[in-house]
Amino acid sequence: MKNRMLGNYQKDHLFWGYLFILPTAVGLILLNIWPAIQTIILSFQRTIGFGNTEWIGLANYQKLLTDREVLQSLINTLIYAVVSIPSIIVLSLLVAVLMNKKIKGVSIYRTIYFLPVVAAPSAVAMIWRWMFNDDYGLVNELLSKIGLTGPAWLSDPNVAIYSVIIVGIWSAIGYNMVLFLAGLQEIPKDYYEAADIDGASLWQQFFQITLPLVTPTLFFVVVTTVINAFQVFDVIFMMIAPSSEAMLKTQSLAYLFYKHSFILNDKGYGSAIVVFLLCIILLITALQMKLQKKWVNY
Amino acid sequence: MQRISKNWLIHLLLISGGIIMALPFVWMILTSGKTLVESTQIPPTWFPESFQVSNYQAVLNLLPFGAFYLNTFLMVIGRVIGSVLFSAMAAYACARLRFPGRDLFFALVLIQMMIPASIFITPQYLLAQRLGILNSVPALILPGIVSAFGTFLLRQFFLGLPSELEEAAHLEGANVWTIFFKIMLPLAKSGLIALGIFTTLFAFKDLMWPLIVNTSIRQMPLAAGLANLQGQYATNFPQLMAGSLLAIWPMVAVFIIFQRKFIEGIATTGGKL
Amino acid sequence: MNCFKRVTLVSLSLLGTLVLGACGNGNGDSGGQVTLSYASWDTEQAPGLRKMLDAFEEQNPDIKVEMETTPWDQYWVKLEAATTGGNMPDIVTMHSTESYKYMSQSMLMGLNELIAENNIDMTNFTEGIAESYTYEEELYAIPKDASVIGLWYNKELFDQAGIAYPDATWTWDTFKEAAVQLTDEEAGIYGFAADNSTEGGYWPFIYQNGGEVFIDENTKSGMNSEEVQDALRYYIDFYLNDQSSPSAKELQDTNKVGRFQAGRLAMIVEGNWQTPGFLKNEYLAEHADVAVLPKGKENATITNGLGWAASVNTKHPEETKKLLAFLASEEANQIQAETGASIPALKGFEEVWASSADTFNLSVFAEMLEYGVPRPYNKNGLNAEKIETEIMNRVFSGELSVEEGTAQIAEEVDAILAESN
Repeated sequence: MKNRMLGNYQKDHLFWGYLFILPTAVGLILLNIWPAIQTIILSFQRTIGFGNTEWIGLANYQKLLTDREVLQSLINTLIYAVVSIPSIIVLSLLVAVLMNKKIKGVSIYRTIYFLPVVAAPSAVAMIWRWMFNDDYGLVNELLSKIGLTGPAWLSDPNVAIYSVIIVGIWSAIGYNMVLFLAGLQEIPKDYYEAADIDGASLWQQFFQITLPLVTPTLFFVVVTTVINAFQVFDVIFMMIAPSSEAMLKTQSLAYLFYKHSFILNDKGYGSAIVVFLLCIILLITALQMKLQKKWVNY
Repeated sequence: MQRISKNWLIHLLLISGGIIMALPFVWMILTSGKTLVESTQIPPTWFPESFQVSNYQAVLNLLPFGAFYLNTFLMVIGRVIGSVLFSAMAAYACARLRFPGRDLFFALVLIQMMIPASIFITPQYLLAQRLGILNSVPALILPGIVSAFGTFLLRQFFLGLPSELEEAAHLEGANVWTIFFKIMLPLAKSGLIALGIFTTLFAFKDLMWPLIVNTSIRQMPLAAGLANLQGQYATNFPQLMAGSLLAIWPMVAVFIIFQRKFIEGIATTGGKL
Repeated sequence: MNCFKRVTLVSLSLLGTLVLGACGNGNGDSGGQVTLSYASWDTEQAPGLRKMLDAFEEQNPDIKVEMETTPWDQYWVKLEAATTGGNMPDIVTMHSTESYKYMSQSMLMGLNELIAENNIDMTNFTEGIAESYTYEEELYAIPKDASVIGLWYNKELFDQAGIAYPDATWTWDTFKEAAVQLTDEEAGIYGFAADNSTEGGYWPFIYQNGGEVFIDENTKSGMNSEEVQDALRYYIDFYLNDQSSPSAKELQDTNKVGRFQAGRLAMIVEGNWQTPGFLKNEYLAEHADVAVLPKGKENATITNGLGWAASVNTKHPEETKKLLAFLASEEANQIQAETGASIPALKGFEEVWASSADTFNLSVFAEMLEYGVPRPYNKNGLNAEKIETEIMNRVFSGELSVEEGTAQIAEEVDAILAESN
């Protein structure tokens, strides 16, 4: 009897499996995968304009490898990733855990922490640019009150990237807080009640119950945060003037792609840059998928 | 005693974080009441001398907000239904069903997320043109009708649910569809709602796509319609902030309503086993 | 199974909405009426442009013109996508930095025939503008307007310092002196803003000193010359020596228009396109005004102009040509000037524009058109400018001397120009 059931299961799976993935698969291929393939092809070409292209083989890639700007952008992107990713994950998880408790006014807190996500990008840019302003910004004013002189947050080439990172972290917390909150709902409350009865402290409960059981969502957050960090563009676009001195040491690979493809009209080279970026992200994500089994509890 | 002081500490942490979180939003509200000159002061002023409601009136007169709201509503509904439904299906297939090509499909899902979105704009425009839906609401819905993000998110949710339930249901003779619809979906409710919120959010904030694919202002959703307030050289910030607030309050309302739903009132998962 | 039906219904209705939406969007031409599309980005000028189009529609009852305004940031991406898809609007507003791409790829309608048929005399347009829209001896856009760079200043600050307002007698020396006198560092007020801008920055000064950005018919860089270097030194000294200007870096943090609007800057070099925005700002409307630029070895300012171009693949070539001919007419440009949209490229309407708003002394822009230098233009202009700005950043910061900087700019720009030639 067991064999017959397994046999049915397989057929059932085949039919429903393909049916279920059909709409998404069709959509993704038409809307996303096909354009991606076109972009890869474009990276081996030189664009003359409006769909007219010329095949130049690996020339774009050769140029890429010797382009100082590309190398610097790669470094900028790595700095951004290394600093922002752990910060975002730890802070969002912390906030979500706090928001999951029955504290007074928790709904209000949740809404407040979600606000950055809905605020107009222009408002966000204005406020942070004001806070970071060298002359009259809030940050430097507060620092001067404790006797420190703050740097030129947005125009000093060595500091600008960190300012951008701060805004990036700030923008991402509300987002990931919602994701973690949803994931935390999957953990049965009985576990916590039992732990309370057993006298476990909050720390212990966090590390022994919460953390292990939120790993599926944590995995999602880690993967998406990594991808988003490597693709960082919006926050740089908003905060740093394109002709600014600081741009060279702040612009990410995604920003460089945008600059070449849409402003300097060199879609071939821009495509090569984005393919390069894609390979990096692909490698890291593939690595994460492999390591999944080691720490994620399904 | 310990519990009280812990709560106090938590409140302190949350409030200090909350101030930083809410600051731009508060700025938006205050600036929407300033005069143009007040908004260009250096150093910037915080409070308007008197709140200029005229900014709101001006924006409502200048722009067809009715059309904006309608277009945004339709766009959101279309995208949410499409992405939640199709993603849930695809996610369940990836999490619990076994068939050849499943992992390849999931790889494609991940790859989509790794590609910077600006690549898609021109090809999607050409696709919309070929479908004959330029300058319309369906064009707004098109890019969001399936979601790699949603598929990945819900897959994690489904994987996190105990498989005993399905095995039990299967033993009782339920087929895949019944299991999916009657058992798994309800259990993954918080994930579905989260996806709904995110899809709504992405739709609300989509600026580039509506501006490219639609040409007349009456076909614009809120974010894109507001871009008309931005001049090439000078922007009337108080009006822009007033317009932005008019645009996002539905989003905030949606969040307030739904965050309660998926935090509280969800049946315990697997606890009934 | 009930659920299955429900889901199928939802999916089908979703698809249905898509299809219905497509059908319900017929913006084709009905009967004998033709609809033309007109693309522009300027939300400020939109009302004025609309009036012009209305006048055209009155004279041509069979033709309707729909204006599509897309903000600048998205305009070019959209135009390119539309053009690639064969869907270019009938009339497009063209800018000199993008025109080469469209002309060299034969995406624009050649207008030599139109000019001949309608007896349009190109000398009636401000010099130099049509050149940015001419490719291989064929004209591709009707010059629309002329932008000019002038000296905007803050009357209140001048009054406070007891200095007479800038006028045509001002030389480089008077300018520099005034800037110093107007600076009050304690109050955070500066006399001038020497920022790293080209058209609205140091380019006018280069030409005032007899230098050129491009030489040899725009095939080589002219930056590595004594005239250019002297002009740059003069400009940078406002910050470096005199401290009458914030540093270029500080100006990137808070830009000069922002400081001007807040009453922190006495003078800035900016274009006439700022007029609508400045008029709307109560503080500036009351305290600001504009004057001619100071004179170096000669008088010079930078002029530029937009153009009206047509799609080569338009489905309505006859009607489109009619509209273009109208836009080149005196009637259309009278409206353009009256509504204060911009100074028409068609000569003779400068005063009309100037009097459209008597808050500012706008006729100075008309005066300066006489000695305006067309914005340096060549087919690789964007790339060349990007290089120039990046290297100039290092000159402004003191990392490179003016000689080193200009030498480097000339070298790299020459390389790029040689490549594409």
